[in-house]
Amino acid sequence: MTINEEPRNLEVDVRDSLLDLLRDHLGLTGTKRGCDQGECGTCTVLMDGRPVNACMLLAVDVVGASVTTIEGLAHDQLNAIQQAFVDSGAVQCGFCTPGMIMSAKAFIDRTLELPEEPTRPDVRQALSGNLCRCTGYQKIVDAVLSAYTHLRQEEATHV
Amino acid sequence: MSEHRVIGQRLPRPDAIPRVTGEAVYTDDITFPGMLHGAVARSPHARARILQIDTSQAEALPGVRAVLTPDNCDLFSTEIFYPGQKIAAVAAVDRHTAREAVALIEVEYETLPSICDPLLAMEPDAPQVHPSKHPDHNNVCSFQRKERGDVEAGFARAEVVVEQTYQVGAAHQAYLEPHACVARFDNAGDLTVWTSVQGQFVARSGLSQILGLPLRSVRIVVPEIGGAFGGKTALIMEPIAATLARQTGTPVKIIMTRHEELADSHPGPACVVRVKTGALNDGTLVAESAEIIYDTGAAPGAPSGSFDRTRGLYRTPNFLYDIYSVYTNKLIPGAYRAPGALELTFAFEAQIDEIARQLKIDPIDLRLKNAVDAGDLSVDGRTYPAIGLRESLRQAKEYVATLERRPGLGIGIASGKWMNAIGASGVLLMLDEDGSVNLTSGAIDLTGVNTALAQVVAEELSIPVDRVHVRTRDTDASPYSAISGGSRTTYGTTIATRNALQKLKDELLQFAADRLSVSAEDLELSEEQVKSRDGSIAIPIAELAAAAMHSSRGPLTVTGSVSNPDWLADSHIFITQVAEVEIDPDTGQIRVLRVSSFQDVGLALNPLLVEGQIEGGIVQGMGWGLLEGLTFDDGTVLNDGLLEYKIPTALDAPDLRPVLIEIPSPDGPYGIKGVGEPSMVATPAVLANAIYDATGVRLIETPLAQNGVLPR
Repeated sequence: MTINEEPRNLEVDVRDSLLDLLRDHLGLTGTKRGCDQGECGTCTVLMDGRPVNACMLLAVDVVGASVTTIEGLAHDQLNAIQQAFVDSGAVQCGFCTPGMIMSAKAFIDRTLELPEEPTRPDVRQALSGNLCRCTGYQKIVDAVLSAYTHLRQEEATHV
Repeated sequence: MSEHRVIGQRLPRPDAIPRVTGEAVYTDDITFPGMLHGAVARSPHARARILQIDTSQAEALPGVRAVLTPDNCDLFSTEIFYPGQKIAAVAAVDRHTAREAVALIEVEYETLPSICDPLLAMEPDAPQVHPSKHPDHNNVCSFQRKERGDVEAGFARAEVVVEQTYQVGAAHQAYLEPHACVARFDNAGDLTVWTSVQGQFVARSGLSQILGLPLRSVRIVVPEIGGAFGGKTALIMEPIAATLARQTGTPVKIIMTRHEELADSHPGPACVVRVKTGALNDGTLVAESAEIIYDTGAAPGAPSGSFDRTRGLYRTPNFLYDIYSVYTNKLIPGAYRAPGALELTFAFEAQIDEIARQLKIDPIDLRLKNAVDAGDLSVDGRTYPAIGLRESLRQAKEYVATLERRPGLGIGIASGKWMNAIGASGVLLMLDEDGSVNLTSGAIDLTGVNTALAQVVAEELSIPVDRVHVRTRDTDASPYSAISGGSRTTYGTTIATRNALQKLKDELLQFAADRLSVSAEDLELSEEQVKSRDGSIAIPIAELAAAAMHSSRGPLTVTGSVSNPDWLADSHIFITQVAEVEIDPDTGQIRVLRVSSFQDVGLALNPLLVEGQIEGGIVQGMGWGLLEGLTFDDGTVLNDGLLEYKIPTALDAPDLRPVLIEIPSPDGPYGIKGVGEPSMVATPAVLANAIYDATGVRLIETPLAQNGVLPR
């Protein structure tokens, strides 16, 4: 499988989930374990660009896939979504943050390909699998829309 | 505009950066080579006695290193008082093996009569959980009476009386990081525990007592903490992890599962409130009585002592309140953000609305007519200083006037109150040779307090905020601090920091004055420099700091402290909320569109963070009021996962409008007041009042949305 753009050949315990593999064997502890039963979204990673709960996949079933974790986002500097979360006050305890950002990334990547701008309800829908207990979600929705606007403008400048 | 330069700025938290990159280290991210994993076995029975435990199969499982039971460890008892009570523990080479071993422990129980309903538990023939502290009722854990005036005469005078019984269910804090700890002994016999708790020093003293270790032999380290809300105040797994680590000579980690969190931690309690309120026809409140019954489960834990902190909104001259907490065979509740306040506000604020409807007075006007103000008495007889209840009502009224009424839309109003604590905190302040400042605190940062303290230091020393480094360090490295709770942390540590800053300024200016042969009184701090008031001298702070370090003066290092043996500050936080809800006429589904919160914050050191506290509190309050509530079968928690125990998602959460009112607290530094807890106290009440406005149906039991509501 490929993890954060690096091809890996791994031997895994058949009982281990993708989350166990990432956290316990590869030391990628940015992906969090909030419930271990697919309910809270803190373990969200991208598998071939789609957000998935890493706790709900057996590691052996991820053969051949490309997995992106929170550690794979920042290159030298924070990416636009991470920066928007910091600036908007969307981070409190931070435990939901990595998973929330991964869901936000999948949403923004998808939305940038569409002509229309996302609405607040669109963002809420996209993040509805990621629980947050600190923020009330208001500043998280602000952050995602602000990151979208920034990336849209950046895209326009490059074209 | 503000006279402050850095205080009041909307600064993002610097510690958000490692949290967005995944670098931030939480307790479960810590591992040691050879570390073992612990798991516990639990009773399925509400009340029972263990006759025999057979651990032979568990011990024979490959990879198991230790098994603790009541036979060999006094952390466990053979007397069972609630389902989920811990009865044994295992340490094994990995999590899977530890849990497998727990399942192999065989226990023979003698089951005994149990009682799970607090009202039935008070009856004379109820099974006794623990001896009662009340002469007339069974199973009473604590009882208090609050009284003023003549309540009977008050009701006799009343021209309208309303009476109702309200019920609030037990709600879990549902922090996303489960309880986590790692315990490790070194060769000298000293223990270090990494753990997710709100107070590291109280954890240290607790562990030292339980384990019989000298205080000096216990070090607590609190890594990043993934939410707490009052639910991480008690030791839960730490003594077990430490005992397993001592027995095996190997570090042991225990992470609670989500099921264990919901079945056996310390949620906010269930509460029954019977209230009767009397008023004159002009809306003047004349009498109020209530009987309040908290379900405290199998041991004392329900926050039944916070009545005075949360009531006292109106000038009711005659009142009588009886407050009970009652034992049952259920899990033991604890603190949840403004403990005890939300339950009472739900009941009392519904009564105010009922009076308003009966008298056809606008509910805001009725509140304004009776609202306390400076000079009035609180429930415990304090004289209120300048307070914000009337201002919050006035702003709410202005806002409601802008709303367009339409069928199906309900607009609700409710007010609430809370008082913040101070407690004990010390800080250590060091001026480094480059002129930057290092502030060490022992208080756990749950809310961004360290960001606010950096602003305070930058303000007072006239240096840029990025030259201030604030860190919470472990119990060996930092000054004592009480638990981060009671909305005390920013309030208390800001006082301690200002005390330290005063000393540092005095010492810095004196050092400069001695070098320059001038009077310290002629010097001041400005733009990272010590300057003479006449403008003739300007020396960078950095130069002075370095000079002091290498002179006979020595490094500029000071401490600051605060304590308040009475715990509470003279800081009265009032809040009024307005909720806009929409009810689907066909399905009865309740949609919360917007909640506005008019909260007196005294002064916002950092409005971005203050808003975040208020927004989060509103949605937690909404969760408890609308969606959440532990359900039980003979004491066993039924909804023990986050699919069954539903906390608000981004789709449930309404649009949030935090409005900050700044009426300075007379004894708060810069006039600040606690902000963390008050934000949620009125939310279930405001939602019930909005639903009533939309439908004419008065919901008296949480979670309000359990069945939906159809217009009458």
